[in-house]
Amino acid sequence: MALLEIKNLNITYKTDKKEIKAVKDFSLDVEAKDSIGIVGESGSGKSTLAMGILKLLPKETTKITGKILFNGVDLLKLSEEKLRNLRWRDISVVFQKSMNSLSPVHKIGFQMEDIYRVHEPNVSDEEVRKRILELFKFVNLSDRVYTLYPHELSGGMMQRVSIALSLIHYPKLLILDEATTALDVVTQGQILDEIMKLEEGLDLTRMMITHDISVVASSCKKVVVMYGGCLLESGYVQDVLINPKHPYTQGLLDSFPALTGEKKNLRGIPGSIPDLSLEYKSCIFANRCKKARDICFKKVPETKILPNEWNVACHLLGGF
Amino acid sequence: MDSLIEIEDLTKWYIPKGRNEDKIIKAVDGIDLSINKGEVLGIIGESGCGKSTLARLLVALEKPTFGSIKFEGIPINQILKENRLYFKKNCQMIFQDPFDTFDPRNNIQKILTTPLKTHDIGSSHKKRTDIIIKVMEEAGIKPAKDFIHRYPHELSGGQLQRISIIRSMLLNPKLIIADEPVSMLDVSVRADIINILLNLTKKHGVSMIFISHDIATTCYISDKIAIMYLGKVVEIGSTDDIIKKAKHPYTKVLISNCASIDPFEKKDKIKVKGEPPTPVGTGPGCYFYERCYKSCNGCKESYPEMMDLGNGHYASCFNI
Amino acid sequence: MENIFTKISFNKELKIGVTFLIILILIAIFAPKIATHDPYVLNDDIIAKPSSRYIFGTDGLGRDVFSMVIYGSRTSIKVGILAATISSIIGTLIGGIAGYMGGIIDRIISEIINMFLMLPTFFLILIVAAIYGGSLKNIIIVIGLTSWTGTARLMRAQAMSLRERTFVKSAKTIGESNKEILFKHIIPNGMFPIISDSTMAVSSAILSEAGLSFIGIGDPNVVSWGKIIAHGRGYLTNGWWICTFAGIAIIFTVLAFYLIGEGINKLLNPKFSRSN
Repeated sequence: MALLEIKNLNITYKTDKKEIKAVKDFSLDVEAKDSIGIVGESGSGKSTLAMGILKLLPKETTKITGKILFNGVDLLKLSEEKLRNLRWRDISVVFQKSMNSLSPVHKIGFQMEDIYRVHEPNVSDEEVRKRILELFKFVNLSDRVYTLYPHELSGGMMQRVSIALSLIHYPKLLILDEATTALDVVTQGQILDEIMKLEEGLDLTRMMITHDISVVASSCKKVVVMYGGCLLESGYVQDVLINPKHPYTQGLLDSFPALTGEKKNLRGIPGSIPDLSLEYKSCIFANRCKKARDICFKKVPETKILPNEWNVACHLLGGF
Repeated sequence: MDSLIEIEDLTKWYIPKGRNEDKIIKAVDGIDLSINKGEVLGIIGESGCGKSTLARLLVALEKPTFGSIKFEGIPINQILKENRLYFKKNCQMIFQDPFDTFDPRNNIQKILTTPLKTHDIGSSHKKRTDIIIKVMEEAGIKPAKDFIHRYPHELSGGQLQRISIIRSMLLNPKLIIADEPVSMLDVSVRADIINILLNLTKKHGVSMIFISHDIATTCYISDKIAIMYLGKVVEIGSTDDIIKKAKHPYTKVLISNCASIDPFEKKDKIKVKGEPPTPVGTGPGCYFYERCYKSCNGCKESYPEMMDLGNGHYASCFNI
Repeated sequence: MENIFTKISFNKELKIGVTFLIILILIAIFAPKIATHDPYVLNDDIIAKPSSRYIFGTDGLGRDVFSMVIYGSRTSIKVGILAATISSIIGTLIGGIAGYMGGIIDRIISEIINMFLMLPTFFLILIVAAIYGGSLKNIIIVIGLTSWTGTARLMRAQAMSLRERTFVKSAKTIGESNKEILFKHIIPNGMFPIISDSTMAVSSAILSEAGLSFIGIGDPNVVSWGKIIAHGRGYLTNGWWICTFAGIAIIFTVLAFYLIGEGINKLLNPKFSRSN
């Protein structure tokens, strides 16, 4: 059984006038110890998905249907009480601006101790300290950080603290939502390396949400390509990123300039992102797709399953 | 070759209140550069290296602390005094945030006709409108008539950045300074914007300074590249020389950490120590000394001179 | 546009305030039609109780209080709006220049603003009115010239944050002059909080005028609410209606402008408009 199974998930934001379908009929299995990268542009629903898994979306304005099974338990049916127990202990998350969640007037070590005790109230000071220093070592931070205040750290160090903090209770699932986006190239590269290294010893499943394919290419085993709230293509990175089947994935890869190798012309994808308040009876990418045929405008494509866990939602693969 | 702009020992220090000598922020710390007509110069650096300050100095949004900028052989202070509009017409800037580049209260027509009016191009409002419609259609915004009555908040980031480029090209400038023009755009739109910039500059023989933290994109667009670190240019040379024959350790670190979209490409990332420092209290030795993997004792004594490596390739390091 | 109207209709403060204001303006315009008596004519019925003949009764000199209150609205609205206009224009210009130019100009202007802030405004008005005579024109000008500091500080803050916005920088690189940038970009974009602030300034100007009239420095030739109250003070024990109705009129007017100001503030506050 997969660690996380998402089945036909729909997430809709409701405003006074319209409904925005941020995630549409999304299904995904995440196996234990996978590292999976979710790639999409702005408005693709990737962050909504992460928030949906943690059930952090405001109840009044969002409608969630479908199933999110974590270890076989449907998170959508859990009570708030049980969810709170689950968050951070089993599923934890690091956001792009996670560092803002630390209070500026307390020392970092002190705050981490506090967070540790939320789920483990009865441990000794000694143990807490040991655990925190162990985490610092994991993410390459010196012990000195323990007694520093948040404003004394640089962006990269803060993000390391955030990652350490998310690992505090040995979570099974770690969600990184654009966690390295704001960092410099060099720092980002190093943190990605550290994350991959520390995974080796842990029973950790990682979900990486980003707009940057290169981050996924260098640090994940599997990739999911999202567009307009839909899953367009998913599979192992060496399949999807080398030989993409979906025109959108191809377009996205052509938009990245390569540093080495022969210089090829950059090609973007013309047009702009779809209006998610509309109901789509066609392929969501059809109006920007240069390979679109008649069928693409008439029917929502079904997800086709190719060998090696490769899923593609495109009419052009036949079967219509 | 004629040089269009010559920068000599350009320096911008921000002196905090109290005039504390140790706390001077050396945003730009003695830069010598020259840009030839029709050339695209890329400037690469991490955040805080002073590349945006350099851009603002070049378009005279800020005054340098020391040093001079000569535009067509004449110091810009003198041009600004004698013929302010001539300088403003010939030196245009494209900003990072397309959503904030335009006054939210003006529509596209007003936004695009204002520079024409300021510089006395076109005799009537009607004629100016005809000019902007023609230019907009040339740049691929069709039908332009539908766009001119829209407001900035009704357009997407890509469209706004296109308007921004159109506006700067309207005046037929000799130099365009693009400060991170694509970093806030979606990947699929970036390629288009870069191609438009590249085509327009080549077609009109305009020089461009392209400032970015993204090495691959900068290499794609530039003829020549300068690498900045803490307010100084550490290496400069033709794009090929920089990518293939990088000499400065910092350049090597940057290039080796540049992520690729190819999952099979396994590069040996060069590790550096520490975090990007702030440009406060630097020197007297090489600014990169503390993080450099090649540092030796001589490095912390004095700052290395720029070394001529032939073919316009310069680097400032003792260990070449 | 439609959007703005729906927003206004959701805004309770603005709706009530505007209704009040419309009533007030109508009263001021049609004062001669509404008033039952000439407010300046003395009468033999002294301190008459409110009745069908004298709706709000009469004062100690036999003048009809109802007619006086009706005519008084003209004075109050005139003083309020004109004084607030003068102070907003001065405040916006001074604040805009200080905030946008920055540096030494900003420092000098800020000191001037601080100086004006420290002035006891009401006493300054008192002195000026005492020296130059308390004509309505003088009172309007003095109130306008002394109450711009709040607006100036607000506009300065606006201009300082707008100055850092990319569109102002881009206007500079395009070649627009400082004057053009100030009047085309800084002031129009920084205006919104000023509008709500000036509406509230109207109510404080009305109060200042009433206060001046109350202590007897107002224009002796026009009817004003402050003056009615000042006069009625002597008859509080046997003629409560003289003060009461004029007082209610002041409260009503001040409240109207205050509600409009508050409503505009809510309408334009990004925190509120974003949720809509």
